[in-house]
Amino acid sequence: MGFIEDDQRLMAAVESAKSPVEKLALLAGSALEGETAMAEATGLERAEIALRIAATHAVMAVETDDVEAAEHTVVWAGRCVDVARHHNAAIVHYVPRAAALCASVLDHVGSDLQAPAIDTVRGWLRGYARALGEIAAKTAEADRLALVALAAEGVDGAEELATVARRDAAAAYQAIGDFETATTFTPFL
Amino acid sequence: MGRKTVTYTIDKVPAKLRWYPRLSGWGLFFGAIGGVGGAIFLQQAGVRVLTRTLLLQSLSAAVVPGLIIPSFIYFVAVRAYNWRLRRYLRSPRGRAVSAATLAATLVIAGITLVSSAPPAYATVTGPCRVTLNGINVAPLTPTADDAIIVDIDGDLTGRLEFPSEIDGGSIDVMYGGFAAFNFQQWDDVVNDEDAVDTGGGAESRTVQTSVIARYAAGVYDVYGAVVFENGESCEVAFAFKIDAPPLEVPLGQGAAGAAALGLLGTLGVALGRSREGAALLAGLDHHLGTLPIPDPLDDDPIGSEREPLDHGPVTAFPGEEQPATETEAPTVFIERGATPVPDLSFDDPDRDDLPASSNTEMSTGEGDAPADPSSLVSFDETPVDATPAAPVPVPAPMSEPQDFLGRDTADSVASTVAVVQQAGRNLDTLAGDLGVPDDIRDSVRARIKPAAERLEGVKAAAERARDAVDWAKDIGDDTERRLAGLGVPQGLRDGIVWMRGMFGWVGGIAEDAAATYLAPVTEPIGKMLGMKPATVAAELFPVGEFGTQLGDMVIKGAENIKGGENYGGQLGELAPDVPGDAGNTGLDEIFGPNRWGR
Repeated sequence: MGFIEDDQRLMAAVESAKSPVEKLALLAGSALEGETAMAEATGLERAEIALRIAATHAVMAVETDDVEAAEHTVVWAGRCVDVARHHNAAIVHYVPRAAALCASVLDHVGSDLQAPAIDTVRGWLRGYARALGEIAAKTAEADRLALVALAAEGVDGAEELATVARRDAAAAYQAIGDFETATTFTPFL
Repeated sequence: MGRKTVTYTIDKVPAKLRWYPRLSGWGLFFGAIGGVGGAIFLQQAGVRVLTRTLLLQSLSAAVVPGLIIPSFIYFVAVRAYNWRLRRYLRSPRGRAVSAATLAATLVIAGITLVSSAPPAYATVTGPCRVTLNGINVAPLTPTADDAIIVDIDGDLTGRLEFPSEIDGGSIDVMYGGFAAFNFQQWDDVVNDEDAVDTGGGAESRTVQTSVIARYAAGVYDVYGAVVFENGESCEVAFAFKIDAPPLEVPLGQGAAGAAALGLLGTLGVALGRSREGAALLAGLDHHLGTLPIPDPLDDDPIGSEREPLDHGPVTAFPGEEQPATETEAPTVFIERGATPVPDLSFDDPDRDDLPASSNTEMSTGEGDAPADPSSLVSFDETPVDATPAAPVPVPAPMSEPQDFLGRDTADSVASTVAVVQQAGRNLDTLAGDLGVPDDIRDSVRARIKPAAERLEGVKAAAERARDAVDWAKDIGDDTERRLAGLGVPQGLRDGIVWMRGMFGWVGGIAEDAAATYLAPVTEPIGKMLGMKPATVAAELFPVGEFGTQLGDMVIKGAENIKGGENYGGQLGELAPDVPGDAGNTGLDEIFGPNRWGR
């Protein structure tokens, strides 16, 4: 079973752990497993893995008030952003999460590192805002196609129009990383 | 009907409404006023004698606006409400209990309204003869049709011819079944002193009509009962009519006013209840529009989401009213000092001070050498999917941005109109390319607006499948719903929800710092929504009021991230050639480079 599948069950396992030591062991083991997965992964999946590792460290930082875990959180969140920055949809998805994880451990990092960490994340947010504008515009375009598709449904003589609009809307949603919405239009093609 | 309020909680499907008879206090009041006023006016106009029966019937008219109208309107509203709900849930029709109950209510109310026929008592019974102004009343019934007409300035002269000495009795002018004016009275105690029957005779009495007509006109019935020393008795009943226009006497004017007031009040009740019913339906329509379209193949697609009605208003953002705990240690915010602080914007022109590394070169292990600026990539690389973007649709500017969260309905409408217009242009383009006839195009165009509501449902369903905001459900729902109503794109909504959570954490550091921290995000949001960035920050990220518990939020955030889908893996198909991370986070020089391997 892969790291991500394990990670999806990690918090439940941590929740049912009998002792704090067992909890930390699970979290630390997951972080190590994530690092291994990170080395083997490619493309944007590395952003996913990095974010998960950052989240693991964030939990450890809060549970143990551990400075090192807090720093690990920030660095892994940064690695997530470093991968995600190559794709607007990834930026829009990962940057707020990574930034939130960083913010969540600020209390636990060394006081000398808080201000630079905040400024670093602020830089991420600037990129996030730019990507957001582009994604928003493309989302609006996809929405318009989807509206045409939905409106054409059930109109006699507009079957081809509905099909083409559905196809275009699905493609447009997919292009911006909105796979779930894209799926709702795809099966009718 | 008491005011019916349904409060909708986000993502919840309300239960069916059940009809039951509704009472209106104002309706009862206006109905009674109008009914009595109408009856009195009829009496003043000489149309009907105001008997006790008529008075009761007029009072029972209160059930029309007080019970029948509210119940019927609520019946219609409930039917429409449940029909919409059934259509949304695609569930079969329920039992028609409501209709039967309504019918029973109306029947009962109708019986009340028309009950009790006027009493039929003889005009004169017994060995007497009675005249009024010389007219023998014996052949007359005490009704308006047989009433003896008297002049308003004339006299009322009554004469009683009796066969034996009067032992006791009285003759009264009646009003509403009550003796309102005593015409003649015989005291039986006085007459009984001699215990001797002095024989029959006749008595007359005259009163001026103006005694009554000073304030009133119309038709009155007279009732008298007399007992004689010989043991016999007489009863007499007849009516007389004061011939005067009802609107020229105070009682007639008052009655007309009361009748009009009752009618207007009844109309007001009907209108008010209709508006309440319409608001109920509009609220349901709006709410259902924000919910996902249920799966018709699922027997109980969202049964688990049902909720009871009338559970109270949706609260403000949880935590807003919770004061920060005093035990929470204040976090010290360290101002930038000697520590080098790179600006890490993806497109910041001042990025030259940042470390840069090769984008494709990946470090492999812990303990790599410190970052070499010459080996790092620049930060303004264009994302692989970046293409010139069309202008972002901007909802109508808000004249009062400080009221942002309270104006979602109007802004939602403005946003919807803009989207529908833009979609119409897409339709024209597509239809032109495909050669779709104009009539079909127009048919499709007419359906775009309803489709906008469906699309919102589709996207809401997709959003639920995704792990967008579940992590902070409590704070996310309200923000998410309001932003959706404003037409804010999903990606932005998602980001704002996360930022809200983040502000719960970072807000504890320093309010000013936190506001500055989010400036890069609040600026574009403000541009998109027509608001000042500071207002965005104040409305969406109220630092001082948030009061979230740090540890719990972290755990929830982590749970969300870990429990979510492999989004990066999905995106990987779209951008398979994205390079790996290469130390461009700007953090390496702060925390030390490559400490956890690359």
